[in-house]
Amino acid sequence: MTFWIFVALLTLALALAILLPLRARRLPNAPEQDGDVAVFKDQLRSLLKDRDSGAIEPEAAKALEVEISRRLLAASRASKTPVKSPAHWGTRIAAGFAIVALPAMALGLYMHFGAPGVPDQPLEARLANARQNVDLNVMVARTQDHLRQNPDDLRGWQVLGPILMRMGEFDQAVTAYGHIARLSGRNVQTLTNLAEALIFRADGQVDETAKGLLLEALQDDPQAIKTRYYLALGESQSGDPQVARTAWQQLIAEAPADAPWLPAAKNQLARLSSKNEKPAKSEPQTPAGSTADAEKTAEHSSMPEGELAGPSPEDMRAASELSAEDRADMVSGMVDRLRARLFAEGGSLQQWQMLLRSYSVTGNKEAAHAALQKAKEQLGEKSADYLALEQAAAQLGLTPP
Amino acid sequence: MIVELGHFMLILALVASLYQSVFPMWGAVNGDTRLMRTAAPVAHIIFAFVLLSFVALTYAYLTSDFSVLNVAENSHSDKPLIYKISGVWGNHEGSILLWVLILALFGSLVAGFSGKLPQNLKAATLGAQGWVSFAFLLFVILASNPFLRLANPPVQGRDLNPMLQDVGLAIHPPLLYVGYVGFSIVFSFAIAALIIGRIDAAWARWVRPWVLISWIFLTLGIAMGSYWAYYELGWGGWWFWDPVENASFMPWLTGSALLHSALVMEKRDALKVWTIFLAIVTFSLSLLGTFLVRSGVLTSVHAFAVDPSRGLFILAILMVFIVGSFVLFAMRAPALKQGGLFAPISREGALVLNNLFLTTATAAVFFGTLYPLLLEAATGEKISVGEPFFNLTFGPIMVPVLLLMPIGQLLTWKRSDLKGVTQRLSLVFALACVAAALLLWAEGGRQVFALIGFALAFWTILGSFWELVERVAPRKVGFARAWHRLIGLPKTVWSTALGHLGIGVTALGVLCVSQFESEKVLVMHPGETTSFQEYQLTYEGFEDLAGPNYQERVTSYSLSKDGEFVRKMHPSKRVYVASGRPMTETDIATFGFSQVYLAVGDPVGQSGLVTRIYHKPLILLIWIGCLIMSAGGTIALFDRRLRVAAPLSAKAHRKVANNTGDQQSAQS
Repeated sequence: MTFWIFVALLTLALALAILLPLRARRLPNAPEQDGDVAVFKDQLRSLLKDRDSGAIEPEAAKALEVEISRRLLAASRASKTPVKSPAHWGTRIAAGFAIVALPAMALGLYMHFGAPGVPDQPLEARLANARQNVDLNVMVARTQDHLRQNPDDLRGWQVLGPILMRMGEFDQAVTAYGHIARLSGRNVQTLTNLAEALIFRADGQVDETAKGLLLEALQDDPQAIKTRYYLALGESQSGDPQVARTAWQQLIAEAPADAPWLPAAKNQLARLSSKNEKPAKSEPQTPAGSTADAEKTAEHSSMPEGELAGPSPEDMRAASELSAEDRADMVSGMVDRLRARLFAEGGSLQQWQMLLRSYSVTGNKEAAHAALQKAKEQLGEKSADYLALEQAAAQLGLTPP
Repeated sequence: MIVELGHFMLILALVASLYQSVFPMWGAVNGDTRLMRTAAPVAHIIFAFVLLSFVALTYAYLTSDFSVLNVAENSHSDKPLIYKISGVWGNHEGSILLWVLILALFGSLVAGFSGKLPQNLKAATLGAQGWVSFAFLLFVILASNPFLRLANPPVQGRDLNPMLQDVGLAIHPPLLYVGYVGFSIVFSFAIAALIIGRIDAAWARWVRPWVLISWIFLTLGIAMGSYWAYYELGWGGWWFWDPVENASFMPWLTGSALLHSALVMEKRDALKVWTIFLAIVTFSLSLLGTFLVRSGVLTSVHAFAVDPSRGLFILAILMVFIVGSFVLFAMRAPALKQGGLFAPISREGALVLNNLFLTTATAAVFFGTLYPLLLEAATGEKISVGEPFFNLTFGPIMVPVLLLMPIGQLLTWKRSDLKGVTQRLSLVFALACVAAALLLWAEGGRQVFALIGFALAFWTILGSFWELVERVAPRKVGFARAWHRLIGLPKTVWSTALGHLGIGVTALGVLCVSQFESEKVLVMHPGETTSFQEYQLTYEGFEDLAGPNYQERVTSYSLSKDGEFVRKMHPSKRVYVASGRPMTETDIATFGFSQVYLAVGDPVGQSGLVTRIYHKPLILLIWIGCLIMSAGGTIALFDRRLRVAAPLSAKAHRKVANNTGDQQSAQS
């Protein structure tokens, strides 16, 4: 209601700005009509003042005076053009326009483009509102806000880390585990967790940084299974296949028979044996990974050794209720179906864009490139649609193939 | 509610500008005083509405109201306060809104500060300004509305382009826009003059402050943008002849021409039609610049969003205004009363030459900017017209401009004596040559062209003040009297001297940097030292820090000059959290007017770091020159008199020359 009162007042203000000058009775016209003359008179006055003060030489002043007077004369002749009396119908149309057309157009346009009644939604108010109906994203955002103010809150980072891993926000998870390692000391557990986040961020590649962390962790506890698992994975990817094979064999030999990672390890070993030279393509288990036992995955944050899991069971239960896995599975299923259809039958620009966007969200660059390549064939390299798609890809940070 | 009220006020401004476009103009043509009287209050209220609307959008940014699409797309709640504010115009929609805000501001200023303006000229000017406002408000509301809402606001926004998260964004666009848009009011004055069919001798007097304000701000805006690109992009370049830069440079060139031709018009009542033409051309180039930058024709940091429909919309505005105004010009200009003729050797003759060179230079830049675009549109072929083209076209055109500047300053109105003037400048010429030789020797150069270039720059610098020296004649009248005379000199003399001095200083900086700058790129490891000219640089290491919305790797170098420690330097690399985009932050050490510029690249191997070092001799002069030019413009702005040039009789002329201490001229 207040909103509509404001709307009415503002419209009224505009109408008055037009109507008041229109209604004025007396029309002062004399001084305004001969602006030119006034300017020249002004000029003459300032010239005389300059001459008297000595700023201008008398000879120059005299010449100037003649010139200005000449212009003054010409101007006063020109300004004697008759002033027409204003026609009343012009004023009436203007007034009518101000009273009827302006408010009508303004309201019409606003009702079309505006969102009347939608309140302001500042972030703080929304975060406060969200406390009742818990949304994972909101919860995480709020925790992050809190931690940004208090970066030394170890407990907070410990809660946040696994949740971020589960959400697939590996980038932020790296930050979180980095803080945990800083606050609770560089021991086998914190370092391995940090390395794990780094590995997931790099799509399963064990890079130099991660490797360094794992080696450091191993000094703390040479027997730590999770640490050795990732080190073995790193060796399979880029290191010495012989070393890798030995590492896997040792791990498998020491493992309890029901260890959830055992199949994956055996798989890696098998690959190494079959393709002796070729570095194995990494396949770490994702947090929403292939293990059928979802509850177990949640409890152990994807990896063996229950004692290595950082957060308490309550935290994990709170997070697992949200069932991020289910959502991720559902989304990836949809994306796969869309991809299959587009690759087989082709599709519109919008559909290709949707596919690219999905891949950019999940960070799957290779798939995105493949899709772009396919779209090039389907749409035609020179077509406007393809060019638009390429632009969209560039905006998503995907370079065209 | 605040956001929605902002939206509504924007729409009210649109309908108000529709009124402004029609009725005051109608009144001006038909002599209806009542209708003309509505122009001023409506101009004020349009400004008030747009301003409040802008404030509402700013409020949405400050409170991180991500239910507003524009905010969600371009802001982030962690962003520091200043970037939340500057982020309002750090995107397509917001920047067009700022454009409109300044447009409305100028309308309101004209309405408020033109008491002596003839009423019909005022009403027609505001009416023409109403056309521009209407077109752009329509564009904002239909095609780039910053107030669109989201039904399900995201928790966090997408953040501003990291490159724009800099103080530069807070200053550069508003300055540049005041310049760009300010020329709209000059354009409106020209259109009004054409419609009314009469240009008073005083027209130039009324237009002068608006030309000056726009020109000053455009100068500052361009300089600021150039410095921003210099320190932010990390390539060490300060001008790239990039189409976006050219787009702002072209109105500056024609604006400078306009500044001078308006002077002739004011003083001598001549060049009227040409001045009107320049006013139209200048604003057309501003519009062209807006089109190039905002339509997405060009991909650059300035083109926030690529959207063909927006491009077409701006193109339509561009066509309507440019074609419309030129048709009007063709129809009405012949009817305008022409001014008198004048002798070629005179101050006005020199100003005409200036106009000739400046417009030719504009044409060269125009061609170099648009030809590649047109060629690509027509044939799909991509060519790049870069620095070599502009150096070969723009450069030579500027030589006579610099050469003539000191001479033009000393020529008198109506008729003058070229030989006398050149004689009077012989000392300046000699000093310029000596100064150039000294500078070349100091920088260790050998090239003849550099010597000529430096001599030209010093010629302009020293020549710009020669008029002051002659007028004051310290040797003749003694110091105390000279001081008195110096204070009492007309402001125009000061503004001309400073304006020309600024050009000379900038030219000197440009020449020096292009001749003597040097660059070194290498991989450095901690503890390593490299020497570069007379400087030594040691890489000490790095530290990872967390900024408000980015992670930063701050490196540490120590810089010594001739073995003596000068200061630590900390160039850094940032990664912005929300967008994941990397950003290089340079560090610059200043020595007098010269700078050592340091930027870091990617890490190499375990501990190596790509380091780029540049030495930029006298580079600060480029921007200092721009500041001096603006100062000159500002002084001219405070000169409120109407200027007139009167012929002196031959006898009087000699006498005056005598009195101002100019023996040579009087004798010759």
